[in-house]
Amino acid sequence: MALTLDMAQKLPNSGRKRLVFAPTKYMDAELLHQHRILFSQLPFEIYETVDRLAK
Amino acid sequence: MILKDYQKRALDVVRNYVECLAKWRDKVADLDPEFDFDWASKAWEKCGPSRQYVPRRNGLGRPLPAFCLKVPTGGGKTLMATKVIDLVHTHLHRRQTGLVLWIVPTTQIYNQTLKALKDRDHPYRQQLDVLSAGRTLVLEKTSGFDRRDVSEKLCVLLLMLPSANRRTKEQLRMFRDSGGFDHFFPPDDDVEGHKKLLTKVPNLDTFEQESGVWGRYAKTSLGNALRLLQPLIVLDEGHRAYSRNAKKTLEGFNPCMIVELSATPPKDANVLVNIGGRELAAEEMVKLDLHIRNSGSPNWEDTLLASIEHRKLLEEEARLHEAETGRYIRPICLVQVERTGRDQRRPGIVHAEDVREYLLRHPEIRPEHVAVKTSQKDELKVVDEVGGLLARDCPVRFIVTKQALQEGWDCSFAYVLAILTNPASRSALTQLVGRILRQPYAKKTGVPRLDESYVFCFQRRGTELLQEVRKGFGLEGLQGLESKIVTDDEGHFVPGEPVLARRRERYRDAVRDFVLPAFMIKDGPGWRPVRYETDILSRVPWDEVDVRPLFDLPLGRESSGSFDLRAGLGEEEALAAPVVASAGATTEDEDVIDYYFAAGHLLNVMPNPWRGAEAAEQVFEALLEKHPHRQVRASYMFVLEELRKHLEGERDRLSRAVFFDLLKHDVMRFLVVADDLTFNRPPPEVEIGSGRQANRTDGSQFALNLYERTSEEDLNALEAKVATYLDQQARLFFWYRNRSRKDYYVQGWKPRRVYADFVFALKAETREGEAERSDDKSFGDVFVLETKGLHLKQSEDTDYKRSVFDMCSELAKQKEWAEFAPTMRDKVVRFEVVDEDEWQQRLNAMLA
Repeated sequence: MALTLDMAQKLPNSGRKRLVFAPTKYMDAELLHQHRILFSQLPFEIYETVDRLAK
Repeated sequence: MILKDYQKRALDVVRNYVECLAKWRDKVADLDPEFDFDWASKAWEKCGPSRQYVPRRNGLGRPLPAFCLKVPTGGGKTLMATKVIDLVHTHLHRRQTGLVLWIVPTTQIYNQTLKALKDRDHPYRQQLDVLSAGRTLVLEKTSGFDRRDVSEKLCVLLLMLPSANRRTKEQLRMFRDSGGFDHFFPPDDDVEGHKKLLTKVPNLDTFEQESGVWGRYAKTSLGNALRLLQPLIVLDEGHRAYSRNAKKTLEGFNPCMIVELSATPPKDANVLVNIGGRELAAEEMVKLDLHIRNSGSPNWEDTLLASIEHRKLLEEEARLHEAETGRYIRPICLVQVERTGRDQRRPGIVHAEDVREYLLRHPEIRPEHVAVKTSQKDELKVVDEVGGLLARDCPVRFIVTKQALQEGWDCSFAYVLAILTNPASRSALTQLVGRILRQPYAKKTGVPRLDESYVFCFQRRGTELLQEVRKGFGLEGLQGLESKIVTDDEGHFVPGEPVLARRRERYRDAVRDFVLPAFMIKDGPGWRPVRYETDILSRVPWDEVDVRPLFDLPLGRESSGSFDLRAGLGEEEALAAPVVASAGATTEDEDVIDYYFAAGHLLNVMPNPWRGAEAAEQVFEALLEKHPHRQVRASYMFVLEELRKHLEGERDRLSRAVFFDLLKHDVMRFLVVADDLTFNRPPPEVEIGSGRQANRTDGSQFALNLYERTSEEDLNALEAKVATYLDQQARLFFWYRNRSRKDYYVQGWKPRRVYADFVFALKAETREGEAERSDDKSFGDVFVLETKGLHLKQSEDTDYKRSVFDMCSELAKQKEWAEFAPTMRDKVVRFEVVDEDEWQQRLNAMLA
């Protein structure tokens, strides 16, 4: 579920900035910039809602 | 909002002090009150800075912890205040609810703060919502509130200092009897109740000064309600509240603590945190250099025209900048005039309307571009109502004022200050210079013109001008940045070029192969530098986190949430159901402990929210088995904070294990690699501070500095001494100042990289049988040196750096560390941390 360097390296490379939504990441700001990634953290509460709806 | 480094450091100091306060308060809780132990002074003595503490007492005669955060203009005072509220509630009150009295000095700051605190998307409000788990109530003196609000929510009551501070308090609305607060007091016919209340809180305002036939009755006023609730007082621009009267009024509210925020605290303030101008400048919070253009022309119109043209130039640059980055900046020019009053317009005096007329004659300036701000006429009010000056559709480009823009007026788009007042008037510059220093978005744009600020004035004496600006810097708490004031000759401003220092030519050949080692990790066929999040944190085995030590966490007695109310009411009343039912009654749902929120709160420490929620659940479930649900619920933030601290320790413990494991299995190595990693080699030229050139402490120039020069502002007192000492050593080949966040670092097992202060190399040793080498040809042993002030000697951070450096020195002894850079093979590299009290002795040993 986390954005990692491996995942970042496998993202399609169109030369443009990529917007990635994930609950967490294991990349620092410098590395995100190098890989042209704009990271947007999904609030953990979303999973709570999903869990609740599933029940 | 990400906190700047200096803000984090300051908040660590506050946290430490507040924890210490809580410890001493708890220690004396069981003592006889007659003993009257001043725990606030004791806590300062034990954990505060070394300066003298001025003890204070509240209206009940109890010790009143009062401290001041000295933060310069534009340093994020208000954000820090919200964080301090969090720290005080978490560590001292150990609950999420209560009353905070936020006192501001002027209407401007009042409106700004109120707007921010009421906006749920604003970082200040979000911070408070995090503390109160979304139950924040922002109040004004006209809004009513009841006991239930205070016990179930975090109530922030915003107040202007003049509303509370006047000699004749009877005239002030907040001290008048009012129907809105009668539920805090016994009924009117309850003589006994009033008597009891007045015994407990003797400083309540009463109708009769002397006990009459019917006894004394406490007024049901807001002022009295505050005295009962013992609020935490946050005092914005705290230096304004040091008159005898103001101090007495504030202490009369029986506060449990006073937190002052000020750029210029008076001498008797208990300054706990002192943030200097340099720290702000380093974090890109201020627009410096400040350019001053003093025109020789006697006409104010010439000066105004020059500022119009310069603002236009800035706007063009800002447009280009927006096209590239999407960041919107609309440079604003502040114009200071001599008169603004309706009947004060006369020849020879620069009036606001004269300026407006002149501006509107300019073909590119439209009426809506100009706003006049005076005590009578506030054209900015309309703007404030529709999104403020920073909004994209706000047209204002010129603000004309006399002195209505006081401290706290906050608009980072203000770039140009045109002083059109009589050259003989001294106060003008001093008062307004701080208004143009805030950097938009607290981040440098990279466009030199947009990262600096500009003052236009006319016919002023050079020395006086500089004195005024210096004084202005002092008023904004920006001492230490005087070197950033640049007086320009007439003509166009040349944007301040960064000052570069080149490597000295004589070292060119010698340092060509000078490479420092770094922790490198295997990446495919090659090696790359280790990154904390990617390589260490992502490998932390979170299932090994042990939260069991928290199962026995003692929950304080204050955790019942009734601490505030005890002061004025009987125990049984405090815990009884509220008299007035409020709309926000607690439901069962609200009492459920929210593990998802906890996971979000722990995200900085534990990036995996599922594990975070699990850890929180384990701890809370264990506590619920031992304590009543209500008590655990009331201690929610306290427990969460303890959990965060514990997890931080656990994370570092496990990260350390991961780090050593990677080394052991050869996935990671301490290596010198020939590639330029941008940090492992001294660059050919470095950007240095624009201040004066640093010299040896005896005044002579540095001879062995690798670079042509170093600026005074890049060396603190200890570093200057160390640099001088190094520079005088015969065996030394060269030294250079290793700049934080720019130059060489070591990434250990904790998040922050370790940047040393100096790197130096000795001359190559002459081996037996070899001819004497020329001094300037090659280097021998290399040292990476970190210096630590006395106050940091025993700190956790120093211990960590020491252990990382010791490990580096050990690893650098191994033979294969320089396999990719043959020139470094026969060299010894040592990493040392030296303390202030022993640096010379240690350096002697290193250089022996």
